[in-house]
Amino acid sequence: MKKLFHSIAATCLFAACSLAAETITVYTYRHYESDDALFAKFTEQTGIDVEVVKSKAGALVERLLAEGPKTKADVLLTVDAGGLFLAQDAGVLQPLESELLESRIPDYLREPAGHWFGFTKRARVLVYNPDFVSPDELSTYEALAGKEWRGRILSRSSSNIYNQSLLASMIAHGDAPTAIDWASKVRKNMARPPQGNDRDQMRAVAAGLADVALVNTYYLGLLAKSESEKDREVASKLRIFFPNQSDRGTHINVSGAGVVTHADNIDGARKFLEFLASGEAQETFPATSSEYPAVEGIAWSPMQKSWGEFKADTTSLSRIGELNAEAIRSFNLAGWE
Amino acid sequence: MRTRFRPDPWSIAAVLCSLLLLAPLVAVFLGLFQPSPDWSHLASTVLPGYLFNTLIIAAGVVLLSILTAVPTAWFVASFEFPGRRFWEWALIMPLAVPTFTAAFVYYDILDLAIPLIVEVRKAWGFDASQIAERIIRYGTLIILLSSVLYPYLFTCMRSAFSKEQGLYFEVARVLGHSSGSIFKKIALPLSRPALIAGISLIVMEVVNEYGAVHFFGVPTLTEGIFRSWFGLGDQVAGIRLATIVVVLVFLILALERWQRRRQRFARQQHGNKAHARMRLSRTNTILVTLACAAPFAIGFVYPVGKLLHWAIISSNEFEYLRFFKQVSTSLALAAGVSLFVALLAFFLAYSTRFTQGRLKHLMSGATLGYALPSVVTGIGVMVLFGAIDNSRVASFWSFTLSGTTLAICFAYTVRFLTVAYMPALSGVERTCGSMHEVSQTLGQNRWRGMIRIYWPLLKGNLLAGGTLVFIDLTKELPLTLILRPSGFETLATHAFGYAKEGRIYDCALPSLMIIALGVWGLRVIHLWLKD
Repeated sequence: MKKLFHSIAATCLFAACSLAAETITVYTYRHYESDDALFAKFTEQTGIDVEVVKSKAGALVERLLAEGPKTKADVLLTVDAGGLFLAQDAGVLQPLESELLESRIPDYLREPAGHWFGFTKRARVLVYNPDFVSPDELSTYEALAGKEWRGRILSRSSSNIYNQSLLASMIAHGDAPTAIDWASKVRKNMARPPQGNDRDQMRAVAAGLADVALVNTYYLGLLAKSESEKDREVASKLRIFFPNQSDRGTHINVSGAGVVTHADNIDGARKFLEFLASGEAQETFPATSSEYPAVEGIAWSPMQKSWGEFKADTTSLSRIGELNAEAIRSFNLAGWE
Repeated sequence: MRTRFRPDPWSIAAVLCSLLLLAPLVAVFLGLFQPSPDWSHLASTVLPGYLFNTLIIAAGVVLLSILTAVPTAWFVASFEFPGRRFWEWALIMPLAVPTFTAAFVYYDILDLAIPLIVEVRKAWGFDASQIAERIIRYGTLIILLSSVLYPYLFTCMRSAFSKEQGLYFEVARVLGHSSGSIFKKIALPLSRPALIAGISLIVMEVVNEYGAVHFFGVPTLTEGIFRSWFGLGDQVAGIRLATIVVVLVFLILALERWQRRRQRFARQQHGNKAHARMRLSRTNTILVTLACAAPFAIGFVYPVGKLLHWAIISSNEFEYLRFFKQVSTSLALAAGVSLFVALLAFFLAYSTRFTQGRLKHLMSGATLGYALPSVVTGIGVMVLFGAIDNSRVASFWSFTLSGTTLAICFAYTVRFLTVAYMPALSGVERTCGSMHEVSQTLGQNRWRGMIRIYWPLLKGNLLAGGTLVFIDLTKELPLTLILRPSGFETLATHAFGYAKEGRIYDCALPSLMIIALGVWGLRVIHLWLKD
């Protein structure tokens, strides 16, 4: 009986301690299981527990808006500058001043006032089947609009934010009418109407439906590491080409985070963001999700090294995010579903 | 004669419940009349495409479901053949398969069709290959959606064929009509109300579908809502698109209600006597068995077989504790909410006995949630609970509703009440009007009338409705995804998380568990219906 009493007391004490422990709540769009391990590492280092809410990107912003000052969220973690800009524009993120983040994250990968910071990079590249395409035929995104590519290109829907950001970057470098013209011509050059995700485009290229596909780099990594033998075979058949190396560089985007406007634990949120920029966290991304680290000087995975070094477009992602809505309208006008 | 509304506790409770259920929808639709910066742009660019896709997919799925469900329901209801009892049950089973799971499983077919498209292109050129690709893609999507949705129509038709028309069939047979002519001249025209009821459920499911249509590159109005709301940040345009969806569904519901009113007369005259089944020749038995086996194979055996195969080759380390937690969350949530929804449906349906005119409309309005895309309902609940949380009431009592399990349960109730309310209401309406008056004359008050007279009569309808809600809840994804509290995982969100990461093999086990829970629920309804 005494033992039982003691164990109940100990449980209560433990419960009380865990209640008292500092926590931060992260609203995230990332569904990677490897993120859970990363958050556990943060807890181990700082003693701050991480509560996670995974949802859809747009819905997270709506939820933050609806919850207002009563929200439990401290950090919003989402993908793509377009998504980060939408959150910033809706007023659910607050600026954070952090010398550490400013020194580690390059300027173009973060919002100038500190509303959000990019932590991983992904490049939107062309994958091709070397049996049918020579890399000499490939040059820029713009060249894909040429007549010689009729029926040879694949890409996913324009509802996808990676395509939206690519088009936004083209608007940033030129103007909307040129971007619409490009999108309309590329759409006509597609071997089939947009469908599926980036992996499906690669599978279709490997199966010989088209010669090139527009995809994000880490999808090739995920395919190469897939449990499916068929997928690994697809990955082994394909090669990556980084477009626009002789001019502005390949379009890259980020997965990033910011502190929520009505965060209760701003200090904890800052620590969390600074942790994501730390060498320890940055080193995990290439190996787990095949994303590039945002911080310079962090080693790439052997697979990323095999893809080769490339020149990245360093247009401010903040600007690209601002042009997201314009890009969607341009896709609508171009008829790219 | 119109009765004036006299406020009594009973009606007030019913009205308050209805208002509470309507509140999230009102919270969203208040924005409808604000200016939409992108509406004219959307109307002139993508809207026609969204409408075309929505209509063609809905029409295709309805047509294929009719071709599948009506003959099979007729066979199992009217003929005696070996395996009939098995098919009666097996043909409902695809209802347990979530649409998003079916979409993963069937997308493979499009990959398999690539060599064919390449051959078409070599032989007849690029334009021909585009047409072939489109036919295969739209066709596969229509087949996969109908393969998991036709059971809605099958259950309606089977019960119409087996119970309500028995007397007619027997008379017709005595008069020398063949089974084919009975089907054409009597069974089909008489079961029109059941046909419309089944079709309306299927249409609501199709117009709310997001995952599969997006994945197959067939953007419908629901995708348009996501795109304009979350992409362009134009809420009003999103709400207007949602309104188009609601109007489409409302037209069908109005048709269904109009039809059901006629059905009531037919039922009261002929009772529920089951009729003797006709025997089949050997050749016909084989044909009928094949006709029953095809939808079962496409809607259940193939997806489940494929998922089993994936589950076996998945190298993911199986975490018992985590899996057990998800199963218990899904089960507890689905069981608790479906029980609550069934009781609420009973209360509201019974209340229609005392309420008239506008109040009755209010209560019908309260069950509109099913017609709306989940994302709209979800945002409605977010907005409503957010407003309550930030009001003085909440700060005085220091509570928060947003991001709690209560918020999810409330959203489920708003969305799925119709599923339980429709059978409950049809039960109340079918219960002889004089029964109500007798109970009142005998001095039974409303409460006692509900417990002693209506409960025993409606138990069956409520069980059927509640179980359908249970199955819907085990499969539910969008509301859970956008409203869940931290660390909250159901089997559906877990499967979706893996699928999103591309770990398609790992999503097999939670998907199978969802199907197992659904089949178990269906078994409950089936056994009850047999009794």
